[in-house]
Amino acid sequence: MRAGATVALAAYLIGLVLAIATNSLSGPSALLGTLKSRIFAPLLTPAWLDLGYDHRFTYGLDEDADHEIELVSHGSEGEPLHLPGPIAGERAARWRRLARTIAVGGLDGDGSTVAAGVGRGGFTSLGTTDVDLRVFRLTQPERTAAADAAAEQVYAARVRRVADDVQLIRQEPRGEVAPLVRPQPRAAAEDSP
Amino acid sequence: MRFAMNRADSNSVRPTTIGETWMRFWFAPAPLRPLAVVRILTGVLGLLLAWSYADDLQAWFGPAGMIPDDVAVAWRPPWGASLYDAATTSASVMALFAATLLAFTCLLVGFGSRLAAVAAAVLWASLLHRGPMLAGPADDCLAVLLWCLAAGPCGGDLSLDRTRAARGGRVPPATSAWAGIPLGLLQVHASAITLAALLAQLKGDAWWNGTAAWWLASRAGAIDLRGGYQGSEYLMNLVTHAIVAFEILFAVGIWFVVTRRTVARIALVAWPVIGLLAGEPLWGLAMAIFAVPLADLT
Repeated sequence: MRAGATVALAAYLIGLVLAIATNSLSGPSALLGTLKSRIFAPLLTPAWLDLGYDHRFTYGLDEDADHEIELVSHGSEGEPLHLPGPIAGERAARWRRLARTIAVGGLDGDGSTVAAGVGRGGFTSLGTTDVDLRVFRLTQPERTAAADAAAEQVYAARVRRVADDVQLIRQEPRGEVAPLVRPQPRAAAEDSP
Repeated sequence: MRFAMNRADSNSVRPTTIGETWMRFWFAPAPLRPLAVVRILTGVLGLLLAWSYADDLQAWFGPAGMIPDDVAVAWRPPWGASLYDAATTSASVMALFAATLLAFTCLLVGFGSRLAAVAAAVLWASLLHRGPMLAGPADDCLAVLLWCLAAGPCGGDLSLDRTRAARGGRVPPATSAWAGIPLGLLQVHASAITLAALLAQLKGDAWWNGTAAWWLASRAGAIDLRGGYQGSEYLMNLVTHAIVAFEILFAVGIWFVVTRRTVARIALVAWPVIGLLAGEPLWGLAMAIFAVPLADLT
């Protein structure tokens, strides 16, 4: 009995070390990642134990600030739905994590799939099938700056149902989608035919 | 300085080989009371964290919820699985959630404790996999606590199980050779989680230049000490460095007999305070629960 427990404990401790080593923000090495995914992930992942425990809380970066979601019926002047809104505690923290996921994305991609789901879920709340979704980041000022937190829009999309499909039309900031045109020097421009 | 590989018998003979040390750490008879206290506190933490899902359960996971099955599946890691994947109606989602609350309640009162711990661990992992983007650090720690409890006789004391056994004339012993495994796992995870958090923090400049406390205070849910920090940069630096120093002290100090109990008792206060400073009070509570058996309060 103890021999079996010893083997199980030793295997788990190796899995724990690999889980921590491969789930950091830096990403896994090929060797450790392969070892973990082939041997330990089938046991650790379903149990929610394949974790890095890298609870950094803050690096003082913009993306570490609180995020909020705003949903409003497309093209209407109606009252927007703010999430988390006035609620507090762990419940509000879960909404903020959802908002941050949309804005920042994850290791495997951006948050548009999540945004589409949130927008689709908003259809019922807003009584429509066409919503505008925005995520705001409550950017905090430096300690020495005499300013209050500013809400900065970091994600915007229109989510609508067309027939049975849900479409997400992301609204990019103009600076990101406009073609970059460099003005030519005047002399060169005048010489050209 | 003596290396503490046995939680219960700090005065017993020192082990001489790695094998002896291993066997004593994991399999020496250990009292059931600390594990029972961990079980009760974990039940309370579980109910608090689960309750934070209650009001939005349908809004997130219902048939027309904001986190549809396909999004959750796409977002979770390979091998991730959830019982909620089979819950396609509002009633079935609610039934699974009610089962989770029931499991935490059974854990709290010690009714079918071992089974309740396993059920709570499975149901909790399922809930987290159903919406991985909603999970936070306290959720991670709760999952670990539950699996640790499931690994040993967590209902041997301060429980309905013990009361029922006593009424039947079978009074359980106060110690168990199998209590060492969950207690050892708690100690290992307490140190590992702290070290992992510490390493992650020290990758960022804010934890070196002493400004992390300012950014923590700016988060919703955290104690807002920004007024104090604006008045004194040294105070902000002190709080930042104190958090890092405590984490180093805790991760290392719980492994030595001469420091373990003192460090663990400090941790019972320090972790909740850090949780409040970071805006993660339930994470602070979870970390304090890891320290309970090491504090040797009974």
